[in-house]
Amino acid sequence: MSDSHDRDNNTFFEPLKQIESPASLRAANRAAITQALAQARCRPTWPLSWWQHRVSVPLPIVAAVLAVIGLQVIFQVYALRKPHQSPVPIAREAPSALTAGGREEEPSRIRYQQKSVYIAGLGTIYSAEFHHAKEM
Amino acid sequence: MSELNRQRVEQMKAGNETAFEWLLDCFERPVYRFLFCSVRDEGLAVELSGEVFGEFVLALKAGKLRDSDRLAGFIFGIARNVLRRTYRRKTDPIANRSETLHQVPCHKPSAPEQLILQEEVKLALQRISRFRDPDRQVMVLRFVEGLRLQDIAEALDISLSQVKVTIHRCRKKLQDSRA
Repeated sequence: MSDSHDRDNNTFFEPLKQIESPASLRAANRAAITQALAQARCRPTWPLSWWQHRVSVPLPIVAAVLAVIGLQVIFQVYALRKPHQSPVPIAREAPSALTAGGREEEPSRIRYQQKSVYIAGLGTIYSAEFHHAKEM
Repeated sequence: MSELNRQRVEQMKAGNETAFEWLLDCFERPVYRFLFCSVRDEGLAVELSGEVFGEFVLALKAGKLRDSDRLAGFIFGIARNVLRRTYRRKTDPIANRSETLHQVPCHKPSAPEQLILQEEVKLALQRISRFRDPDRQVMVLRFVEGLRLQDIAEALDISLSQVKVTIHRCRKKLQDSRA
């Protein structure tokens, strides 16, 4: 237990080496070891103990957080896909074109609309909509 | 010694009672002295000693002892943790211990010899009570138990240089007090 080259001849604490352990010490230590061995036998072995110590406690927390994020994503994507109803009527383009036969042709314009929604933790989701806006 | 240690540790992991008897033969008294020098109460030191060996078995089964050569440092490290928990539970377990000093357990054949030794032990305990932990623990592990510096550093979870500095400082303090 000791280094021979670095042994100190300090005699201050020499009497402390004479301290004897009481007779009850060995019995108490044996009892503690026996109890600990029995306790160790009841403990689960490797995969189960690893699961119980490392996974089982944080798993419900992680699952709950993932569920909340998933629901948020689903709701936002669903809201993007809903058909957009513009509250403002599309303005009529003027003047209307006349065909050679005197028939008024309904001009058709392609309108492009882009929407973006920011979802925390994911970033911005863009959606583009193309629709024909026919002039009245 | 290292091969023997390794074999004994393997036997203890397998639950061999003979190996545990060897462990108690080697470390029971040193651990008890280490605890007694801190708490200075025979009953409490016995109780804590049982706690140390119980925790050692559980730590051994959990595979926390990686190097069997560090067995001494490992056991005294558990003893230090047990002591620290005791300090947390009690406000000051070694305060006002002067009334328990007459219980210093030592065995000598004749009564006069026993008295002389008890006085010497009391004096040594008074000397060591000048230091606070971890200085006191470093001194006990080094000068009473004769542990290697590396083992002391591992047991007390401090660096090797800190152990050396502590020993040097405490030795100087003792010499100054004697002068």
